[in-house]
Amino acid sequence: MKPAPFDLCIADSVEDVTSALSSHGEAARIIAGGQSLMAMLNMRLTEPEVLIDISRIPGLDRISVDETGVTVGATVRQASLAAHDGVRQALPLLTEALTHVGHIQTRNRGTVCGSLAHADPSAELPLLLVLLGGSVTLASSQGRRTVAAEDFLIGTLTTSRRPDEMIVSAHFPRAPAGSKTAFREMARRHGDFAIVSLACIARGRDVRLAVGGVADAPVAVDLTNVTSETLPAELNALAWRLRGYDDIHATARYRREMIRRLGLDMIMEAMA
Amino acid sequence: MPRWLIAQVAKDLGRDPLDLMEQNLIQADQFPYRAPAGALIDSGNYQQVVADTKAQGKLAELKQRRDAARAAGRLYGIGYAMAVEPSQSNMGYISTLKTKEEREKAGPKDGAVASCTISVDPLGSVSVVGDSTPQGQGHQTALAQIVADELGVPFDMVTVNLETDTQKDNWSIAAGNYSCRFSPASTSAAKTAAERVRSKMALIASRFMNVPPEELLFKDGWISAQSNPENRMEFRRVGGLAHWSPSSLPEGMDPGIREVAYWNAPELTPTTAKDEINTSLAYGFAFDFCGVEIDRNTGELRIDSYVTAHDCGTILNPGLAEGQIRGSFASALGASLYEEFVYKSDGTFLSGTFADYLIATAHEAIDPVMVETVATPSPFTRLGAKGIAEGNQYTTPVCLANAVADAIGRDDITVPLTPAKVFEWVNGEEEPAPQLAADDEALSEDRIDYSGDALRGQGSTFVPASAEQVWKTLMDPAEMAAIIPGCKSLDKLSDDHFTGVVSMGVGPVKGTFEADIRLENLKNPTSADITGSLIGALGTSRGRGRVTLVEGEGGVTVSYEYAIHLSGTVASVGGRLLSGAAKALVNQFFRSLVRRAAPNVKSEAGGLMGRLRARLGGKK
Repeated sequence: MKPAPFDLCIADSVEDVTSALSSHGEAARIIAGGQSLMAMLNMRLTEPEVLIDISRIPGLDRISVDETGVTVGATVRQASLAAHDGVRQALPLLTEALTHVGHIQTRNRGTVCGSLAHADPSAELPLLLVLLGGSVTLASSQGRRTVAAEDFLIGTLTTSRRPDEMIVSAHFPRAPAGSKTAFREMARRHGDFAIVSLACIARGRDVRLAVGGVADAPVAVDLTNVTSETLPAELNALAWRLRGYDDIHATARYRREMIRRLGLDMIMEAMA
Repeated sequence: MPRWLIAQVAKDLGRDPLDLMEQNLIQADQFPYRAPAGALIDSGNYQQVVADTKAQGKLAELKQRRDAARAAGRLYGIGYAMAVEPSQSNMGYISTLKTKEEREKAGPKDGAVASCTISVDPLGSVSVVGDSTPQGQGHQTALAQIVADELGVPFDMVTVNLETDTQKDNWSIAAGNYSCRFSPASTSAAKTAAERVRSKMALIASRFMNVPPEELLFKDGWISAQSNPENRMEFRRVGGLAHWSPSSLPEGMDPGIREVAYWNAPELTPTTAKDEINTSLAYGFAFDFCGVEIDRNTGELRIDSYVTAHDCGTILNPGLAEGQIRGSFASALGASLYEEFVYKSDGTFLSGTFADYLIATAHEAIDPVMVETVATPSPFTRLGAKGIAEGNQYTTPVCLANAVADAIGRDDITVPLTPAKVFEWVNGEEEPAPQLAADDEALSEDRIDYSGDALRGQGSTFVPASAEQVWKTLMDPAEMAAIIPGCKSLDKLSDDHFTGVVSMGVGPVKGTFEADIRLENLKNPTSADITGSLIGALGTSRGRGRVTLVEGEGGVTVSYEYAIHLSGTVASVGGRLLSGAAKALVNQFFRSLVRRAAPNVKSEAGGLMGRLRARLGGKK
């Protein structure tokens, strides 16, 4: 369980990273907290030629909270975001979801943007980014661009980041004024990969619902005129559309059932 | 099966399962009890353990909680489990696998030899070499205590070394660390060796102190006369004499102090002609009960209360005993709820990492009620001690499964009690899919699943080109090299046989594979079968697929179905992500096909997820 040999590039600035990326392209991989990447390196599931360590770049560890929402720099640790009082006030849903991201030890090292870049279909942070209609800002030697969550997270471990780009920040918008949010997750043990994770925003009878762990990327849907009578049928339809899959931890049916049952429970809580 | 056998018999007889269990227990005055298969169950007071457990675990209250939960429509059950816990295996028990004739030919096998060496060095330090190889059970502590007590020296004067080397240390067939042999056997050998050291040192001291050796007291690092405590010698001084002054020793005594004890129990006799065997020397007793509630919505178990009681004879060290119970319980909880070796039909191991082979961690290891009960010493071990570590391995999975069976009234319970499995036990058929709207039909065909032994997929895509054009593209190796995701080279060996190198993967997981592809049943321009294999460091796969072309208005619908068998690293550790990965690769393949076969048409962006989102009314 050792990684294949690689060169380590310790970057001092975003420009260092983008210039290294433009010369190495897909042969390079960015490392910040290493909580997903190191396991994959050790199992030799991935063998990049160059690792670019961004953890020492000054200024990337900023969390800023304003009226639009929470902006998180590329090296902000999950634990720092979870402990941030301003975030807790602006987006309590984000703080709650972070308690389900791995374990205390992995959150101490793992970064928020690293989790987004990894794009595990069952991960909580991509789920919230999609639910909230957030975005990711990418930098390359050509300049910067901001990509909406749903355009960024396009499949299993797959994002629309180009090989010459790095994430510099992610933006989690506040939930609309007067709305209520809720979160549910089902995992074999606390901190395991979610079998199904769900989050929602309810305002009046309009509900935005996001589902993780069932399709190959988190999916959000907008439901209008939701009532306790119509909701079960809508959740059933969504469950069948996403289908889910069997693995050794749960069946596809179980994943659909969690959409129906935890989804109902969660949305009724948010609408109450 | 035994787990619900008792429950089933109780049900058939209309009896309470615990009453039935109690009725069948050996009575306290029947020990040692010879069981029909040959076991000589040494000692116990099972009735007292059960009574203490019911009282301290508050069984009556638990039953009230169950009744109240059931009255409120919740799923709540109580489970019981009892175990006779054998320790120190008889080395002859494996011979019961053989026939009587084979046994006679091989010669008798029996016993379970334990050994220990104790030395006292010229400065009076005591060294103990045991025959156990612990992984954290505290055997060094227990041995040091036993020897320190026997020799009357401070605990920290005794050093225990359990790094066994069979070339220079004491050992025999049964040496090692298994089958709970430490408490009954290794400690008996240590006790015997310590007694021999004490006898020898008493003889030496006796000569200097002019007191008969049997009247000497070993205490606090001193050897003194029982009748006159003023008449005494330091322990270390007596030890030193054996090394520094052999001439001072009683006549005929060997110099130095090093005693090796080999110990065996005569009760461990060979297998009889009738295949009877006393498989172990000491038999402890464990009794557990628990109350469990099942969440109907998720299939999760909530353990309301777990009570566990153990009689392991003399308790050598209460802290170590508690550690054994907690550790064994946590491990058994893992076996009950999480742990499972899962293999694919081709032998690929699917639970080979701790992300897939789940064990109970500190978060899951709930705090059981540990009952204070009797300790009935074993008459067959030197200290009366029996094993304790394995009890919960027998009782806990059974106890939890019985509670689930009681909660939901089924008798086909299997462990691990995973939420998905429990969910299906407590819920009926799944709600069917709603009737699909016409525009969802195509979507529903994009189906990839990795449920059985193979990754299967099917789907279709529309290519705005003629069937001939698409066919030509598919049959042209240069075109295919451009279409197959990550294709580095593709060589045509014959019209229907290609080899090449493909670099593919999902996200950062990428591997290089040697591909061997054959085309069969070519029906120009309507269908073709494709078989092939990929071999690379990340794994191997072989698959079969069929592509069908149906011409329609403005183009051709290309339909495909395939089944791929995967093995190797990716299949073992990436199962959770494989269907998504396959979907991405298939999408990539068809996007390229559209681009190559109909170069003037802008291909549909976003793939399946984009279409799905568009249809589900997401923001995009």
